[in-house]
Amino acid sequence: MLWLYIELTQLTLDAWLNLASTEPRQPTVVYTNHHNRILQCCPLAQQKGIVMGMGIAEAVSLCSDLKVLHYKISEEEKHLTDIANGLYKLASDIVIDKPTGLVLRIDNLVNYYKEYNILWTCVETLLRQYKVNYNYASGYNIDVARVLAKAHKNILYTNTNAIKQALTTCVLEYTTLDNKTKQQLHRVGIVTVGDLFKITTTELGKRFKNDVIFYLASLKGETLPRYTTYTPPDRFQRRVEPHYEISNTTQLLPWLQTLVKQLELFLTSRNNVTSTLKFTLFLRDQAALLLQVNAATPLYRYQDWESLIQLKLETLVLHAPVLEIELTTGDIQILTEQSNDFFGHRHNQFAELQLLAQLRTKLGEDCVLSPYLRPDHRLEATPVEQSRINCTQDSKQAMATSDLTSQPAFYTVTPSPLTEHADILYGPIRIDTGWWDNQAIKRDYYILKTEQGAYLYAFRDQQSQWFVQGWFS
Amino acid sequence: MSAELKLIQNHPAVWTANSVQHHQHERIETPYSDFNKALQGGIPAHGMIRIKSPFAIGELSALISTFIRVAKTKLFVMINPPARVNSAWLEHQSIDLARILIVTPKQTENNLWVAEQCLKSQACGVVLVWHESTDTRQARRLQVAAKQSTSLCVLYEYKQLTSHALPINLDLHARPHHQGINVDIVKQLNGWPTPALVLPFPHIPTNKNIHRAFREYQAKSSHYQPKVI
Repeated sequence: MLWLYIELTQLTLDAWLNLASTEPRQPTVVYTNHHNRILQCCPLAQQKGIVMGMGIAEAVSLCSDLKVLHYKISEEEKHLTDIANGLYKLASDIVIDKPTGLVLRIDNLVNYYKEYNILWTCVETLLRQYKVNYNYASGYNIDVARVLAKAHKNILYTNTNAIKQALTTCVLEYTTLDNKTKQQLHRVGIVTVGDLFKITTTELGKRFKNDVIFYLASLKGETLPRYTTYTPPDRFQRRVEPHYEISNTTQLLPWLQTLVKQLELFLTSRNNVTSTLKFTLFLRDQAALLLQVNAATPLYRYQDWESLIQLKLETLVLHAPVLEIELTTGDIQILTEQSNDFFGHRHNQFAELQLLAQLRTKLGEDCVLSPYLRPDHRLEATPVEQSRINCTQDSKQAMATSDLTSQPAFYTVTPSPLTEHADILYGPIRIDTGWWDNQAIKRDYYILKTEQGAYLYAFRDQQSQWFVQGWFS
Repeated sequence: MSAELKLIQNHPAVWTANSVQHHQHERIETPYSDFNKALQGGIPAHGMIRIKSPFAIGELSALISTFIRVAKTKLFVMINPPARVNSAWLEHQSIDLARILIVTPKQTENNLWVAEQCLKSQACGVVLVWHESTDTRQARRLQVAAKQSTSLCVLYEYKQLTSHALPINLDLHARPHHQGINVDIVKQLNGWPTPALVLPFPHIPTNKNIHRAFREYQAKSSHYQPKVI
């Protein structure tokens, strides 16, 4: 077995610098108050004389405009998982060695890539996309690879003897032995892994606990450490934290863009599509705001979503500044070849769905409707139109048998009193219905013609009052 | 005529008034023969038409069947209709209700935006839009969008404001008429204006269907039935 260990040395800093790439640079460090130590520092900060392990007071005294990021182990792990998701395209067996390590099993992969070098080039290209700093090395098991990577070997070993030789020169600092054991060994003059290998296991067993012995056996390649490989999640969930508070919707767009582009990668690699984007905007001092963008047809490409998101943002009002943005999706579907366009009318259908999505996003769901027929003679009861997408064809019946010829083109649900002089041309059409649902109607409908030549659909109620309810346009 | 002028005349966009019939655009026949004749075959199949009319005189019913034929299998869009559109009436025009889209923007400024999106999308065959006071630039945009996507845009105007000419295919003014509606062709592309054409259609239902049903029933049945006069 051969494992490739990639140690990502400054994930928090890299992630921050990638986001801030367009802004003027400023010396930046990542700091933990747990031990009052600087953990990661950017080249600009290094130029000012700041080194890792420094206290914050010392660092600030060296550089007055220092940007300090707080180290969060959960953040690092999140970035690590992101990269693991990316690497999953290249390698099937990935072990996440929290908080900063990724291990790839490469001996089985070489069959697909022909050579280790080609495989490494692929991995390297991908890591370059993420713009991260890393050290790497390969070993016959995870423990060995980890030691070599931490020792900054940056060599892809393929020969067991070469690995063993490189391992013997590594100092014990790079092993995962606990500090107490390291100190004990150091006191008796054991500095490198090679020194440790010279001592027999039985002698060590007298002085050290079992876990040290197991670890040593693993380094020697006598046992295999246990591990669980990583499986990427089926669902997409990403969060982005802008460097500033956003109170203007136009500033929001670039951040949404980055998230949707990530989603595009996620979906294309899985041959999936989705029809709903759910943005959660975390606001300052207020409850989070859910921004849902619906497309009429499942999409995956960013450019298809772009106009919809823009339209949605046009109608958005922010009551408080946005601190963080999270993107999740609705149901994820598999993109089948059958759903792709093949014929001209299919193109129409796709254009139709895109148009609908566009209109609904800009105007709102209730402004874009499709007519719908219900077997009821009351104009008021006709549910007229319903949202186009949820349109069901279930109750299209019955009305055909009734007299459709006397129906007006336009109508209103709130009839208005007849105010002008008009002649009766046709009627009456008596409607006496609705006694079953407490909206009983008993009316005589007539077609009237006004002096201006307009044709009205009017009724006389039981009190002989005249009302206009429709127009024959 | 000089040789150079003749050369210019070969250009498809240059035409003389006496050779209108040579520049036929695709036309869709209406049920009215006089109207078809005045329009050189029927209403244009794509481009933009304006109909200025008083409300509820049959301005939509007169041409709806033609519009439905223009739409073919594509969407039939109604933007900002003056009141609720009656589904039963649409059903009677024998159009598939699933092909109809009714868009009622909350702000009237959006009417023309919606119309343009619909025309550009290639998904719509006919776009009916009710919008007052469209200016030349807006009309031009819609006309170009409709031509490019080979769809028809029909603009209805109810307010009798003094109107200026629009760069569109066909401009109609409608007036009420007891037999149907009375239409003036105010302006048409590649043709002459024609005043006062009557488009006859019944405003009120007739008993034709009942009579037909009776006759069919009579033919089937051997029993004695009262005779329909």
